[in-house]
Amino acid sequence: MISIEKLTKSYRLKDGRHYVFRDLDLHFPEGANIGIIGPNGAGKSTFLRLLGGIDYPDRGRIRTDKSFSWPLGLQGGFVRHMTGRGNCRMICNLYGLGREVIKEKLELVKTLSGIGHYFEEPVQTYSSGMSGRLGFALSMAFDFDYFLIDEITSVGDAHFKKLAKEALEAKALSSKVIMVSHSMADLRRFCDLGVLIKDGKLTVYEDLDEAITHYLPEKPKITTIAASGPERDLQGLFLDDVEISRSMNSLWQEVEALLLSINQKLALPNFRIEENKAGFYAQLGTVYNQLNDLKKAVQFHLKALTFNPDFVPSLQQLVSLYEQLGRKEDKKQTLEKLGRVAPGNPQYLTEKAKENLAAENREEALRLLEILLDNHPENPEAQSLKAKILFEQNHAEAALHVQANLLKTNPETPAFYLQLGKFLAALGRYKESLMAEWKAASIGLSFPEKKYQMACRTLENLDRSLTF
Amino acid sequence: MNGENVKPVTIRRQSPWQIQCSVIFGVFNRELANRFGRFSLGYLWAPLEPLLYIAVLSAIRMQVASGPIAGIDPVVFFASGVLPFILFQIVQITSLSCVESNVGLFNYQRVKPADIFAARFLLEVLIVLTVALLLFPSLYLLGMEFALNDFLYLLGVTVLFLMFVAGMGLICTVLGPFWNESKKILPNVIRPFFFISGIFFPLADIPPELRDKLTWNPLLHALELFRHAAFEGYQLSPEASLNFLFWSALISLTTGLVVYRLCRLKIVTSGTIK
Repeated sequence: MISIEKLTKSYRLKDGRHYVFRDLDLHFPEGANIGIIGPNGAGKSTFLRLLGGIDYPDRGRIRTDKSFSWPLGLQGGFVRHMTGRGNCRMICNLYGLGREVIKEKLELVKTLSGIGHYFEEPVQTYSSGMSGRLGFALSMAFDFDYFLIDEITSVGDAHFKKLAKEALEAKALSSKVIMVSHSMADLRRFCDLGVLIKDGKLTVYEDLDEAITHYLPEKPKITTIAASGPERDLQGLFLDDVEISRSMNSLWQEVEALLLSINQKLALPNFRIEENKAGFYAQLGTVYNQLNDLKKAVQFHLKALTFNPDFVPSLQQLVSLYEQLGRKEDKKQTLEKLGRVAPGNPQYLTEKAKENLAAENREEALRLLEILLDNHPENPEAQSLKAKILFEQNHAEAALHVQANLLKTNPETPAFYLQLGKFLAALGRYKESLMAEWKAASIGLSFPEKKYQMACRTLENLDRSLTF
Repeated sequence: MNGENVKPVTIRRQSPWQIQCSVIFGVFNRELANRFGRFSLGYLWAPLEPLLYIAVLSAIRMQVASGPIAGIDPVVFFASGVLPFILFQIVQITSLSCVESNVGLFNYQRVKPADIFAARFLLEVLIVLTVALLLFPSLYLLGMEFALNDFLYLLGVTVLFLMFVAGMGLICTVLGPFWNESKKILPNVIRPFFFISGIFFPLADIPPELRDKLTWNPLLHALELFRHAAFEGYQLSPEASLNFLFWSALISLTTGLVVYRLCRLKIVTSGTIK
């Protein structure tokens, strides 16, 4: 049973008292996984902290006979100068586990968190994702009635998400989750019941989807295109027969919401970027690149360069952006600058090799690539280019070898499979060539979603670091 | 909970007392690592500070005079003053940052500022006790003569002194988060007490008309009574009063507990301070 009685919680801010909740009365149904949604700053995390008993209301109370985990958030409640193992041992001690049990649990935690040898390093060397994952893995060592999850599922890769889901499902009989997330996909994956926190009000919906539709009332525009103006040009082209997956749809909604939030904040006169400014704009540029808006991408990368003229990531991306936009002169200048700032930069060397290749200077191109591959043996572009040159020099076997190796470490780029297909065909292996092409096409199917996921994750971070 | 579905849950198997012990044990281990783990000399670091004080005081004393102080050897005299004082000082100063330096730990519902305080207090007491148990026998073996006067009396004074220190420490635990500047000011307030708490002179050596101006200080009483209880032949000043120490300890501890009880939620609640 969790019931909330006359709960009031406020913060004292510079311009007076700000109420998060006022006289809240609520009763949660038994045994449900609860997903909490709401706009930033609506009090979702505060609500979790109140439930977890680590923050206190001004008035009112929460009555419950359940045990709650600590809120599993990005920060993870760790002592920064202690190692991951030391922290986990301490927390096991806090919860009174015996010495033998702790030893056993620590190994499980190490495996589940997937942070590898970082487990023996101080927590201050972790990224926020790593400490979040460690916190989650550690909490799985205990049998809480409710796990309070604050945005944690958004930090892991697909592998971690899968493990996390399995770990939670293994506990599904005894434990439930109460989860805050901006990712509607994650909420749908874990929760049955939806709670919307908005404007100091908390509404419980028996069905999660109902809560989501109340939160995001607008239907995605992509499904409601009117047949007029430029839209008529698109009619019958693709939008009718491509069935956009449900997760893609919600991903798209998130990206749109985040973009809106960031743009609104950027339009404010007094916005503040809580990190490296050049890095912020460069990341935003990268996102627009992922969303195929090349012009905006260029614009933001140039903005990044106004804060740090030698910012290598932006220079790199600008080179390929100018290439795609056909702005030869700009590309040349940017490339020269990149060469000045970072002479050993992989992309610089690759581009130089390409130039040489275009001028039929194969030996020189190959020499540059070898230098590059000596320092960065894994660089995919360089490997691919090297394979291409080898192929043109009629060493199809060698080219195939390089390309196959490349694909083992980079199995997700369709273009690499297409190139492999050409090499195979040159060797008379037509059937395999066809299969490589087919593989490229099938990877290509999930490519937009992956790009969007990456963009979404970056946008979440950017949104968080932008304040006013 | 419904009867037959009750699964043994790790979290609830413990009684409140067990929980309290687990938490203090957990925090204690962390504080131990925190205090010693960061310096390469490790465990040697703790006795070094008091020993340095004692050595310097003894050296100065040897330059200006010889013979016993108030009936006991000067080194023993200084040692018995410096150790309790350092305990008092370090408990107050570390208590100020109990909340601030452990924000991460309050993420766990079980951990409250009092647990951190208790663990730190316990650790400091154990350190000073260990140093004392090593130092005094060593001094004896080095040829300084002293004999134990009254063990029960010593135990009583120790308990009262620890009550006094703990009470003040609890007040500091609450004061720290409420008043940020206290972390800068308080160490400077405590430092002069080094000179007026009878660490390097006995109360009996002060002219009687000046004694009234010093006897409000419970530390002075504690140190005098410590020496009286510990060493045979110590010339106790008549102003030193066990009664005064008793009431100071009681008031200090009561105030500390009441203040903590009243503010325990506020110091970890978001949005009430700053």
